[in-house]
Amino acid sequence: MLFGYALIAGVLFGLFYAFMSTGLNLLFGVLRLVNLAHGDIVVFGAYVAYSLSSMAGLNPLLAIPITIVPALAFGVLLYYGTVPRLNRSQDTEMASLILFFGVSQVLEAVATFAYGNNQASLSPTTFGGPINILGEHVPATWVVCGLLSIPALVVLFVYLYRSRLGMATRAVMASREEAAAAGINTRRVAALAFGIGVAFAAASGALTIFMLGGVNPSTGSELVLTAFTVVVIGSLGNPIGTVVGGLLYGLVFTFTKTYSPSWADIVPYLLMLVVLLVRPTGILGRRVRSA
Amino acid sequence: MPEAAPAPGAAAPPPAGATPVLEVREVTKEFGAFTALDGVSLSLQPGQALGLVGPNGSGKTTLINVMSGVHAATRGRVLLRGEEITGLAPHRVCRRGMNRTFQIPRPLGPLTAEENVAVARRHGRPSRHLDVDPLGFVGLEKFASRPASGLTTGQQKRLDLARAIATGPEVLLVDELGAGLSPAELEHVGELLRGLSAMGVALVVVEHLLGFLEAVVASVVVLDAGRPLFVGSLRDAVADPRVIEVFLGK
Repeated sequence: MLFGYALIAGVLFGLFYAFMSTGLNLLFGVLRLVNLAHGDIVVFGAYVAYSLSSMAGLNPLLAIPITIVPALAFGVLLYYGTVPRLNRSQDTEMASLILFFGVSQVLEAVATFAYGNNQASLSPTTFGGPINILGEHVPATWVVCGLLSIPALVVLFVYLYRSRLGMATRAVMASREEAAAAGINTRRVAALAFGIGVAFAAASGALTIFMLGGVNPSTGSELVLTAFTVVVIGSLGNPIGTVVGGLLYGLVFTFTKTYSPSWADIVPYLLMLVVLLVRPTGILGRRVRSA
Repeated sequence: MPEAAPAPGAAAPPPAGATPVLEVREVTKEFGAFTALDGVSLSLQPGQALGLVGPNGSGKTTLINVMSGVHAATRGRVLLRGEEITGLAPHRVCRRGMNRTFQIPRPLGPLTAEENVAVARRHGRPSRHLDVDPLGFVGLEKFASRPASGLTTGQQKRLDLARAIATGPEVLLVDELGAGLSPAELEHVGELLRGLSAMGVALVVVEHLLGFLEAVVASVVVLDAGRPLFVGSLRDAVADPRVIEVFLGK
């Protein structure tokens, strides 16, 4: 019984983690920068869902379509306002870590100012009572959020693998220099990818408030760690790797939570360490060739 | 009496007053206190193939990078068909009609060979395609559906060339395409470059392999410490005492 429950919950959480992390990986793939403010953007989306439901009495999932356009615009503006300057600095990676840490702190402070430090949560029965799946009673919020992650991921994959801009994005992810030599405006593609990454992060916030049971202003720092672990397990810069990483992370987390709860916060990170030791480029990463 | 065959890469003499397809005028590139290029000039007619030789660190790849927009020139100008392209971003230089290959090719790995070419066709110069199938031209049509990362080094170099051809260039900057290739691959690549030259594409070929270069270009510019040391035929270059000194020492 416990096994079936852990398996179903693991897949649902895995899908959610993949959705929540995919923006971070897209951004890393295109820019080779880690957005430390990723988790705070997710929390921003969660607060929008919270406000819609608790203040306006609307369906919290409306936060997904509502946040997408402003978050995309914010991401594009953030790109043009920061990344070209970062690229001119002598140590782009270090400068970006400091900058995005600063953005993270600002977003956290704004959230504290607006909502206080208390946990913001919504009723676990927002979408009804537990749902029976293969004899297991799973909270409806988990089922709705897990399943909603699928079309979100499909949209991203259709964009990446079936659209012209998506192919250009994958080209930039593969090699910025070669992509530019193929006539691709790498800066424009990167700005759009940055915007999409931020929009996906914000959109996943509406699910986060249910999957985590609530958020507070400092939840962002935990989420960015989770997202980073997911993309490292799957493969940094590989969008399909994020799905694999998310599912693995979700399964390991829920199985540990079920059978040995006190280890649940450690084992996923141990998994990351094992993956890094055995396959440093992640499960779906390309082998590193030494020429 | 039959006419002598033209030297490889020798374009037909241009009409008087014809605008060169590529002009580099007194280009200087400084990295901090280091001067990588110091007043380099060259000029190319359509279909002409020019070799760029010199010891390591002489500025060959830097010149390619400046011409293709990767680096901004500190001073000097680059003109394509008489139009200023100095300081344009690489994708704009590509769309204007000048492209390059890379010394170490980094093909778009997860994309298939076919997708690599498709991306370049779409984003390069849709208005001017060379009358060839790029993958077929470089002999990679059998590998069209294979991810670029799964190709051998020689195949990746040819794919890099196919990617550049797919953008419809009038000027192609070829950076050490021969390095690391087998004799058979070298011969094949030499044929490809001669074919491009015959189609009217002007070539700037950076190469250490002088035998390969001799089969492709009519004239060379020898660079030393960022300055042009010699301009003329390769045969004269290898007999020039200054060139010998630069390569072999006194």
